[in-house]
Amino acid sequence: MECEACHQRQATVVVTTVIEDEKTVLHLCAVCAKEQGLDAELASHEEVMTSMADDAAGSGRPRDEDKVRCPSCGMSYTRFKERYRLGCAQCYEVFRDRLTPLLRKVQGADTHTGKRFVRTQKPISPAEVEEVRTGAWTLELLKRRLQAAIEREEFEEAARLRDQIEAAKKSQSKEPNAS
Amino acid sequence: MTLNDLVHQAAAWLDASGAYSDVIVSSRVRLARNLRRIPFSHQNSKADEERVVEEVLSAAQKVPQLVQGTYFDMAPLSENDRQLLVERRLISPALALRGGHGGVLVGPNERFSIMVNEEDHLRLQALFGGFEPQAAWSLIDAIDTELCAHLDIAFDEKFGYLTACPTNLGTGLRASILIHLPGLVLVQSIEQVLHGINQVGLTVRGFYGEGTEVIGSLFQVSNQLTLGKSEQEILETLERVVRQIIDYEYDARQTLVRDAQAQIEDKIWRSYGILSYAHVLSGQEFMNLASAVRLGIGLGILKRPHTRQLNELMVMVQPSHIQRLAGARLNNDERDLRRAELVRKRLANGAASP
Repeated sequence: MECEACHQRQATVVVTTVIEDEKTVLHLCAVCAKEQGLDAELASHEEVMTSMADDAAGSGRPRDEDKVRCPSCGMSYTRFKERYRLGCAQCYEVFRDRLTPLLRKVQGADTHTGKRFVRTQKPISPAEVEEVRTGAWTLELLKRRLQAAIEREEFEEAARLRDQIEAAKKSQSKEPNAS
Repeated sequence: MTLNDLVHQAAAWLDASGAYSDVIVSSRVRLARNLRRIPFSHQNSKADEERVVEEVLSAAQKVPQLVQGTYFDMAPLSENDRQLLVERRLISPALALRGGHGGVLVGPNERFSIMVNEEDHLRLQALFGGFEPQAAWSLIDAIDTELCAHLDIAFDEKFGYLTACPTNLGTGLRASILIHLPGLVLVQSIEQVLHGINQVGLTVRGFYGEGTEVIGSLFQVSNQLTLGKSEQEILETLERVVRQIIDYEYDARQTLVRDAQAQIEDKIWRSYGILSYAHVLSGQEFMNLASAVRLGIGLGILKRPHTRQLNELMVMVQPSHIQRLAGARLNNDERDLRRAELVRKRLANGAASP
């Protein structure tokens, strides 16, 4: 379909407008859409990431604040700019002010409006984690690892796994089945 | 459930019973979640990784839907076996490549899977056949709520669910529709349609997800933005756009039948003929021919095979599946022979039964 504004280029953007129950649909090409201010200015990920990479490599003198590290995992903002991955949940706290404008650029927003996390149950206790170590799943896992170790002829590892399986079986038969 | 059981079963999403199964192969919704007190996977020590696995499995044992699942530990799996899980779309290529202690919990009939220690500690996904993003979301939303109720999840009042990469932040939701667009490819308007997609906050990826190539006119359309919109809004935008693409595809198919009926019928019957009788088939060739046959079924030109059979074959004739089914390591040439044999047999069976 051709663009309904310039009648030259192919329409690639569909604009639906609803004003007082009256719906109009307009097919525009990318150029005309932009002229009408309908380009949401959502820079593509690549664009943003590349500009960030340029920033990181560019002047060669990192800003002092780039050296600030997350006290929890040791991630610096410089490192983040190289890999685009945060190190841990606390990084978001530490770099909050610098991430906010970046998010507006990459995501077109900076505030979550969706599902909220609710923890309704007690967190898993160390005792429960211990239970999993000896649970049927883990036993199954250990057996598979053992089989793989034997296939690879890693006999030391196999012996170690055999001991673990024995221990798991024992503690399983000791306790009445919890589930 | 072992890997051998897996290769001999047909995942639920392949049964072609969902909406628009003549155009849409599958709908996938995944959520990214992380535990609050443990560094994200790439910053993680081995001990931390084990803790993630233990906490997640402990929590999973309290969720009835998950207890019936099977956990596959990545560490002891050979490269081929990891690839097998990628081919079934149960794990991402990234998890297969990653060293260390990752794994995947696979649900009954492969309706859902939960990757552990991928880029995020948890990647929960539901996979449905046809155009069923809402059904996929409902299932994975419920599993997420139940599983995470037992975990200390990294959630920020303003930023939402915290993820290793800021491009997943907020909802952590990525919904992908695997869509078959041979009509738009043949009438050469696919570029325009895809260009339009990129302008509404959606993106197109290859068959296996990010950074993978397009094969057999199959495209994965998914949301790019994860923050600032609710899950429902994200899904609705995607649904609206995909519906439009479906309409474009139907239009293109009509154009083809109207303007080039003989040529299109010829292409479809030839493809069906080659698949039915070839003795050497590369993966690429299979995908291209299967694409034409799929189109033929959609247009009503071919009465068989059933779309379900094509879906099953699409999974089964991938390299790791062929080798598992043969029970041996096979080189490229040997695989091409096996592939042709599998396809011949399956299509002959399909011809016998209605």
